[in-house]
Order: sequence, then structure tokens, then C-alpha cells
Amino acid sequence: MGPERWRRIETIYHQAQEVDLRRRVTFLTAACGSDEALRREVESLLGFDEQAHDFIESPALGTMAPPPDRDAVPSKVGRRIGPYEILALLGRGGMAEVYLARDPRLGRKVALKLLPAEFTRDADRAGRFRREARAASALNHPNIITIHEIGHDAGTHFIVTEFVEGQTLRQLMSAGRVAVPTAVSIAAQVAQALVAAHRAGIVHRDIKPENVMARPDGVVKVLDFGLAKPTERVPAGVHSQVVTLTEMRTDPGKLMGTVSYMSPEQALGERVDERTDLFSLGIMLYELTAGRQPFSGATTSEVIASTLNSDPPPLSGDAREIPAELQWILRKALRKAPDERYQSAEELLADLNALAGAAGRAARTSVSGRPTVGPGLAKAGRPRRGRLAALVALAFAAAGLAGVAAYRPFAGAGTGPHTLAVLPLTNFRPDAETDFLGFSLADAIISELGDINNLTVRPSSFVRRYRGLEVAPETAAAELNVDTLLLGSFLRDGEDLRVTAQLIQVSTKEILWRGTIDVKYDRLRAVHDRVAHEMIRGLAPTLRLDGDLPAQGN
Amino acid sequence: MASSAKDVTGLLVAWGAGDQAALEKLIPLVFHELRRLAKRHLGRERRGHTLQTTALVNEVYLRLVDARGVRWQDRAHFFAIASRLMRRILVDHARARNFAKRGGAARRVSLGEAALCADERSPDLIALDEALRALAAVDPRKSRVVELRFFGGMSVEETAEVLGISADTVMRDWRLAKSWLLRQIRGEARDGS
Repeated sequence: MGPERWRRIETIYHQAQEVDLRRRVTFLTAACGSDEALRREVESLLGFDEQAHDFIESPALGTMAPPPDRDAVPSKVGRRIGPYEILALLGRGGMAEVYLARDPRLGRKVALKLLPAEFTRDADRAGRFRREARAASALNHPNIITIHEIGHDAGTHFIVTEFVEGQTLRQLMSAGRVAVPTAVSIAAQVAQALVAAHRAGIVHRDIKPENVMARPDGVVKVLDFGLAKPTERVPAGVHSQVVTLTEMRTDPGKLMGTVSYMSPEQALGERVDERTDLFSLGIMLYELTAGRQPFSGATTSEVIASTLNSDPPPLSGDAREIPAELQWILRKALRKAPDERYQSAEELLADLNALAGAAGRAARTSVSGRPTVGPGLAKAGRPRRGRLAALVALAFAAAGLAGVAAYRPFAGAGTGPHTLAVLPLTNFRPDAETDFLGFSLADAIISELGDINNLTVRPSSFVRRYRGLEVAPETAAAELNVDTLLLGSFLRDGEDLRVTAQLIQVSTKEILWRGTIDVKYDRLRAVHDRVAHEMIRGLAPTLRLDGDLPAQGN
Repeated sequence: MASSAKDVTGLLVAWGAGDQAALEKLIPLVFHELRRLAKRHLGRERRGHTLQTTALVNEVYLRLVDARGVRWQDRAHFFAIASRLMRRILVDHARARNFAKRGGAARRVSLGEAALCADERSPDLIALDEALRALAAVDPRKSRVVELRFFGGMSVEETAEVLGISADTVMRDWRLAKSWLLRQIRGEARDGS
């Protein structure tokens, strides 16, 4: 490498450091142009910044003394901070430390987090932190870790929280992917926490597996509401209580970990609101069930680029394992544009509960006659079952599913639809204003169907030519080489739009499913979303019955 | 004060005035004294008595040099030499310790293993020494900055004085060098050209 080259690397490296983390991708792309090797080199160096933070910071001689035995009792154990007796070190990273402590007044165990000195030095940040911590401490919810106290003792600031015995989702996932019902239960509990927080005007902004703990009884607790923001880069790695020391020392991806759960708007440094949390939760749910992240890359900026530009690969696996509704929920939660995402934690929660409810019902009618919804879930869900059932009913009603006529379950097991074409819908009352819906609704449905496993859906571009054409189903099916067709029509009446549809098995001329969807005809995009959503919901049970088909994807 | 104080002071001043031969005579004297003190320090098995590098170098300086006859620039140069010598002493010590730990079998810890048990706070000095040599090939000044700061225990300002650059530049060099070295040690260096 020539000195010129090195100087360029150096210059861009230092400039990039001045650039806000979230704008770095843009900056690097601009600064390095088409020089991919240059960008990689700079990125690779930047990637080590976080880990290099403490590296060789203490002069050599000091470190040459017998190494500080970190297995031995840390200095603060046995001491008191405020009224709290320090019992053990739970985790440490950067400058923050989390201890298990005992509150002698109530005789209970608590987690005590000693704040980094940076908090105390920067008055502005300390003030903001205290305000946020106060707001967060007002949150009283079973799925949010309770903050007992925010205090200081002899210049040391600390936060005392409920002590949760359990493991973080990161630890949970280290054993591999999590069963769908468990994952859905976890996500639903996080969503409940978000409902409460968002109502109180608090956005978490750093929902990630390290910040969610699962107790052995299945109850899930979200940590660090209003405390740690990735944008502040303060106590990296000490977001959770029980991240072990080893984990923190060897985890090379602290920063990566944060970036992987950022929403596009967060990655772009734009203003974020509640919906950013829903995106992050979507990523977590995806990772729980898929065992991998939806947006990945070798470097932080590749991850960000993927978050901004790529569609998450569909979950793979048996259709019975990965319900179509789950795919749908994930797609909706992981929409790039916040406006296209779930608009509130309530909405997401409703869908998760509906999914959990469906799983529960399926389980009830199966072998044991008792709901078998995965470890942890059953117990965790018990006190809430009444409410959950109500929510499920509500969700279905709200979704207009009542309007979907009872479907006839597909009879021939193992011979379910392999290939499907959605033809442009017919306008019952043709007029220039709404005719376009024929194709655009079909297109929306096709897009939604795109993620369902073991079903090949013909792309919109192939069915476009059937717009406004009267064509025999057999002809269309033959031309498109599919065994099933989704045929539909629509009628707009003022503010209402009714869509009816039939799923047809061409060879047997059998109707596999039929349904009617009534939606409000207001904003066009919303209309398309709703129709597509309801259509998939309606179709899902039928399309899922073909579990004997080989799973596609990997 | 050691009897050689006058000699050392004289050599230091002569070297400061541009006499390269003086440096050659100076180094063994400083090295000897540094190593003697460092050994005493490193031999201690108890914690709580950690002597800082600066303190150690200072002690050597006071023992060897008659401060009254020396300009501050010469003092800075003394510290710069001391930093280089400290690097040698400490790396040698680490080698010896590794050797002893492995029951005399001179099995070197591979970089991979070093990375596995790497602790940012007390890095593998042998790996670091190698990485520093690689860095010197790319950017000698940055390798000097690390030597002065990490092995010599010098402050940013002192380092800036010795190298004749601004404290800002030292900080920037320091930051990039740390990331570069850590990457090198972890064996993840890529050819950026």
C-alpha cells in the first residue's frame, strides 16, 4: 500500500468519525465513490473503534503486573451503595457496571446499575437522562422492568431496578431458533410493554434481544426504557442485567448489535417515533423464528444498507411451522416506510394475539384437547387468557373477517395448490374512475402472497394482460401454467368497497375458498393494504393445509 | 544518585546537540537501570503496588540524570528512549513469562489463540509488538505514538512534544493506531490497496 493510499484511508477514516454514526453509510459511499476496497478498509477500521476504546489505554507496565483477577470478587462486592448491599457483579462493559444487590429495608434482591462517569460529567446528558429515567420509572407494567430508584451516593449515580432471574433473548437464541408459539408469545409481551410505554409517550429506541429478558416461567421483561439510546453510544453492552463478563469481553459486535435492530428512519438519523420500536420488534421476532437476522451484512454499513434497501428473505420451513399470518405480520412490521408499518403497538399486538389465538385453537382441537402453545407461553398466558381471547375476537372482528364467508377447508390433503395466479379483478360497475383497481388490487394481493412458502405465485407482470378481458379460467390457467386461480370482483359504493373472491382449483373446477371483504374506501394505499391483508388472512388457512408439500427456500 | 549521573547527563546533552555517538553510549546505561527497576516491579506478585511507567521512567531519570544540567527537550528525548527500551524490556518479560508458564516448552501463542483470550486492557504484548512493527512499515509516526504512550506511559502532551506534532494529531494518530493494531492482532487485517 502506497503512502498516498494510506493518507486517503486516514483522511476518510477521521472524517467518518466526525460524521454521525447513522449517516456514515451515506458519507462513506460519497467519500469512496466506486473504490470498494477503500470503503471496506475504512469500514473495517471503523468497525474496530468500539472494541479499541479501552485497548492499550493503560500504560504497559501497569498491565504487566499480575493481571487483575476478574474472577475474584470485584471491589464493590460487599460494599454498600446508598442503602443497597452489593452481592455480586452481574455484568460490566465500558464503564458501567451492573450488580446484584440487596435492599435491606425490604429484604429483596435488586439490580443496581452504576452509571458511567460520562453521565455525571456531561450535565446536559445527565439532566436528560434523569428526566427520561423518571418518566420510565413511572411505567408500571408486568412486561417492563420496574425501576425502583434513581439515586447517587458519594458522586456515584445509580439506578436500582427489579432483579429479573432469567436470560436475555440473545442468550435464549444462542440455543437456536425458537418455536413459533414461544416467539409469538415473547413478541406479544414485548408489544404489550410497548403499548404501555407508547401511551406514556416513551419510545424505547433500542429494542433488541439484549434488552429483553425471559424468565423461566415465560414472563418477558423489557429493560432500559428511556435509558439507553443507540444514538448516544454510552454504556455499550450494559443494557442487560445478566450479560456475562465473557460475553461482553469477546463480543465483537456491540455496535453491530445495535445497528442490526435499527429502523430505516433511525439508520438515516431521521426523527423517530413509536413505529421505530415496532420495526425493531419485527426484527427480533424474525430472528427468534428464523434463527438469523432479516437484514445482515459483514459490516455495520452493509447492515444499514440492507435495512434501508432489502426485503427480508421469507421465513423458510414447513407451512405448518411458519404460519402465513406470521409472514404477513413480519412483512407489515418490517415495512421501510413507517406509514406502511403497523401504526401502533396495539395493532401489532392484536395481530400477534390473533395468531397466538389461532395456534391455541388449533392446539385445543388437536390431540390433547388442551392448548399446547409452547414452553413458557402456557404459563405466561394463563392469567391473561380471558383478555387474550377477547382480544383475538376483537382482532378478527376488526379485521372484517366476519365478512369473510366460511371457507371450505381444502379436502385433498397433500394435493394443495402449488401454483397460483391472481387475475385482475372485475369491476361490477365499470367506470373510468375505479377500473384501475382491477389490476392494482390483484397486484397488491400478489405482493402480499409473495412470501408464502410452498406456493408459487405468478408475478403481476404476467397477469397484467388479462385486464378487462373475459377469459375462461382453464385458458388462463393453462397459459399461466398454474393449478389454482384467484378470481375476484369488486364494487365501490361511495365510501365502501366490497371485494369478493374465489380460489379455484382448475382441474376439478372446485372452489377451495371464497370470501367477501368490506373495507372503507378512503386513502388508496390503505385500501390496497387492507384488501391484500384481509385476502391473505382469509386464504391463509386454505393455503396452509398443504403441509405435505416440500418446503421451499432454505 | 548513581555515580554515572554525570556521564548520563553529559551524554544526553551531547545527543541533544546532535552527537549520535552519545546515544549509543547512553542506551545501555538507561536500559540497564530501567530493567533493574522494572524487574523489581514485575517480580511483585501482589496487586495494589502497581508502579506506573511514568513513575518508573522518572525514577530512572532521576537516578541517572542530573536534571539541573539538562534542557527540557533533552528530558523529552530521554523519555522517548526510555519508552523504546521499556517496550523491549516488557516484551522480553512477556516472552519469558509465556515460556515459563508453558513449562519451558517454547510454544508460541498463535494469534488466533491470542485473539480468543484477548483482553483490551492487558493485551498480549508479544502480539502487540509484532503488530506495532507492521504498523511502523505503514506509518512510522503512529507506531512511535503508541510506543511513547503505551510503553513509555507518556501523556498526549508529552508525546506531542517529543514528536514535534500537535496534541490533536497525537490523539488522531492514537485513535487510528489503536483500531489498526487491534484489527491486526485479531488477524482481520485486509489489504486495503
